[in-house]
Amino acid sequence: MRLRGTDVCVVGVGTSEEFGFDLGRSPMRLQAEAFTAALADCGLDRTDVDGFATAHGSPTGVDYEEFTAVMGLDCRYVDQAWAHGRWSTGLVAHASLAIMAGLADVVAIANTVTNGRGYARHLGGLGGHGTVEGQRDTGGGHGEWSVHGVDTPGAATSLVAQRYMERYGATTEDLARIGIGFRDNARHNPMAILRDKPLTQESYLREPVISGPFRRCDYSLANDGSTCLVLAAADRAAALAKPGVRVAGAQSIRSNRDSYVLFSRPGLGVGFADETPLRPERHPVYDMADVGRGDVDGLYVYDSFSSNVWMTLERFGFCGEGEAPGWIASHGLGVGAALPVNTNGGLLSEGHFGGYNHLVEMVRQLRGEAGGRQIDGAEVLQWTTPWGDSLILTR
Amino acid sequence: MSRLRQAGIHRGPAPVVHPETERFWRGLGQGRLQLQRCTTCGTVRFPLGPVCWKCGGFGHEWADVATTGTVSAAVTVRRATGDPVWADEVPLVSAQVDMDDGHRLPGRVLCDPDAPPPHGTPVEAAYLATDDGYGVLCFLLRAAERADPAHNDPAHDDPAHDDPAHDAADDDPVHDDPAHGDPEEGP
Repeated sequence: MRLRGTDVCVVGVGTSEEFGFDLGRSPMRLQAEAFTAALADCGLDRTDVDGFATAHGSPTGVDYEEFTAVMGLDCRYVDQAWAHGRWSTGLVAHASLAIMAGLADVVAIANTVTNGRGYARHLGGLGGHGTVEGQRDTGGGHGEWSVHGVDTPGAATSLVAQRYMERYGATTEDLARIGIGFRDNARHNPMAILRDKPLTQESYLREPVISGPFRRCDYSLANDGSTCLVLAAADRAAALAKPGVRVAGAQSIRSNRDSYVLFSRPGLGVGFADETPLRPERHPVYDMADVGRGDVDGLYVYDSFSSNVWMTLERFGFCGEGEAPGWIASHGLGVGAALPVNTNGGLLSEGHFGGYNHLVEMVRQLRGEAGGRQIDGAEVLQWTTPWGDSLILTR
Repeated sequence: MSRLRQAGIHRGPAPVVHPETERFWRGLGQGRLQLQRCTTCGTVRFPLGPVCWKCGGFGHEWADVATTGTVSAAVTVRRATGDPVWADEVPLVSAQVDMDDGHRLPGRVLCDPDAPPPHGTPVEAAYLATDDGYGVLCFLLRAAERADPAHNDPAHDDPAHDDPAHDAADDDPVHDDPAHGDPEEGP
């Protein structure tokens, strides 16, 4: 294989008409809405799309071949990852490489989630409780051990947060600032499911405790909705109505024995990982994008649980080990902060769409389309996760 | 050889036991905490697996390992949001425990759910029995154990207790006895 020396851009973004807890629309319907909206956004036609990628397959989402069949697409490149939220960087990076390699010209990346109290309750094949990964010999990737009563990502991640809080002296008030900050950001996002549900330190403390230090609002939402991103080479993007947003840099998930528990971070000592000081890592995403950490105008974090933000800020060096709670207290997370974080409200308050909703938000920010939550002069935005992958998108 | 105390009946989902891991679960059901030790490099490993993560070797023997440790982190799970089988068991305390020979093992801590033990709390391994004769690892607070005069603290007579796992190849090995297959009586 040989790669062409071309930049790749996100040329179109779209979502289902709404995000919500129970929209009464099937995964296929929601994804068709998002796909159609993304094509309209960039002025391309279904027949222009020759590549398709997704992670969230059936039954709560849509498998790739269902979608190409129902939408009448004719694709020469397809990709489908495991139905987890962790693949946002991977799908975008792989689609970009596919375009650079000439495997496709225009790739749509669509992901749909429906939940058991939403449309998924109508769908067959769900069965059970979805905690089977915690029954693997190695436990679940979030640290779940079903036989020990920690059988959900939330309970498992509450153990991560507990270890962090005890090791570094972080408080309940520190934890609350994360959910409160993103809820405040959501006020300015008409798509955010919890845009009208303000959260304060007082109301946070009234939330029921679910596991460990986690209250309900430390958990991301279980919801229905769909997102779509359309990628094409920069020369193709130049001919379209809206400016392309460059996929400037990427780095993959880091996977090794000491990074098994996804929502922890190296050195914290959760799962099989050694407990060590946080060691600096190389983050080639910056060099690839030809920017430094200080150039980042806004940060987007996979906040399936509130404590993920601590892990990510420290792993990527925005602050030192154990300093994330203090960093958040002094910097804030809002649009007016020196480094706004999750201006869309995040998975905690806009909705859990696997992080693809953050990517949609980044594109809108870089185009200046974010309305009352617009980051002034946004040119460089970074997507990050506790498990080490990252994308940098630039204007 | 130290024996784990049976601390009750396992009421959660049945462990997934298959031929390569059966020894671990059956051992627990007999009051033995055993992990795989690589016969090439001596590394004792967790989680269970068919190959040594350190040297890639496939050969292993089952070794009795330390039964005491300290809490790394413990949480009280107050709502059963996953498998509904836990609905009758919550609130429950579950933890990761730094064992005295260097492993970190998961398990419930049978204690007051309103007082989950903080980091560093000494605990002792025990097991919850399943209907199939297997056991699920759990932990008891060691202070409570010491308060119970009828129970001997197994840490004091555990030959594996002071073996650092990663030096196991150089130490006097705690031999696994493959002939030992008789079920042990519970306490």
